[in-house]
Amino acid sequence: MSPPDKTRFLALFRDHRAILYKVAFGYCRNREDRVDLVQEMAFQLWRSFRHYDSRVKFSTWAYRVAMNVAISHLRGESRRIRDTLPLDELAYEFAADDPLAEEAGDNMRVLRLLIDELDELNRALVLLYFEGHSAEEIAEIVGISPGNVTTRMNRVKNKLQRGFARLENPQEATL
Amino acid sequence: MSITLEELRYEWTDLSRRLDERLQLSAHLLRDDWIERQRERMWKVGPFGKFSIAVWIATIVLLNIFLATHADQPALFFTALILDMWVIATGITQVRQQQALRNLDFGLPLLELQARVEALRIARIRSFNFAFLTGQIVWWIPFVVVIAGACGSNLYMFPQFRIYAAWNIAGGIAFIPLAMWLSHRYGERLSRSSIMRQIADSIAGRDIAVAREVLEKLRRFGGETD
Repeated sequence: MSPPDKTRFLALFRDHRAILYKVAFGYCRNREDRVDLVQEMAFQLWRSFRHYDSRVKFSTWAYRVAMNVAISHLRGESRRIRDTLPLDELAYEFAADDPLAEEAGDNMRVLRLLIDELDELNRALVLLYFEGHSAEEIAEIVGISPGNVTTRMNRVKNKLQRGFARLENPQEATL
Repeated sequence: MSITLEELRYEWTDLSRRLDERLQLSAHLLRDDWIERQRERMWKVGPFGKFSIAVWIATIVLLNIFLATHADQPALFFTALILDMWVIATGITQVRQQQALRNLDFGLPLLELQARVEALRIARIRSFNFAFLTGQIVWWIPFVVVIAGACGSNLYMFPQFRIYAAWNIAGGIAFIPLAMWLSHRYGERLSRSSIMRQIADSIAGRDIAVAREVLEKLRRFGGETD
């Protein structure tokens, strides 16, 4: 990576690294795993930067990388791809920041339980929906058509809404 | 009254905003030398790293020296040739898979990248099965080559060894279907975490079946309906 690229990457990474925490929050419940996952995402972002096409928004690209790493992590492939990296100072730096988990209220915790029940691809849809992305943007990240995103999101939203009702009123849900 | 998803989205946005603020405060933690550390790590990556490649190349060089010096002894020559081809084939397969994993572009859309990862997983399982099962037939060959190369003794000169080798080939060939049958029959009873279980899943084709299921799931997800 040339010095200008390095500076550009660091600036972009600095501005967008919240994406890593948000995706890790959606894919990992355990704090240690989350720290490990964020570290892997950061590593892959840097590694894949040579493929980055600036015609695509950096945030779109960063979501793709972060979610691909998270899904691979869930399937146990990520370690094989990158092998085990020790948790060094970088991990410590990231471990110092786990604000989503620390500041999440009860509703967010319940939402997280419900997201945990979804498969990895539907989780991606939900996370992007909550981040305020349009169907077109979600389609670009996931690699499906906007119409497909809308159809699937409606299903997932219904599922989440029913899940919330179930968790708020467990007795009603069992009747 | 149940909370709506719109209200949850608002809460999420608020949490995201606080996260952004907090990360701004800790931006100094991201030092420039971070990139250098990532670069150093890249070269430590993978089970077939620099050391393995050095051992692999050294093995091929030694085997080819052996072939050149034993060209007048057909039994030893062809034995070493089989080993040489096996070492080259398994090594090239591993290097290519390692390269393919390294070159994965994580910036691709999720469905595309995940499909590539699963295809690589299937290829990896197949090459492991090939190496493991054929290894049962050729495992004794290195002894012949090493003893001939190091001590100058041709084990084929001993009738007992020829019988031993014949039995090993027959045993190795018989082991392949037996291992596949045992893995199908009893593999699932082994502990999930054990290496034996992983080998059994691989030989029995369960790992490939799982990877194919994932590919099918990705295909369905990409379709308009499922």
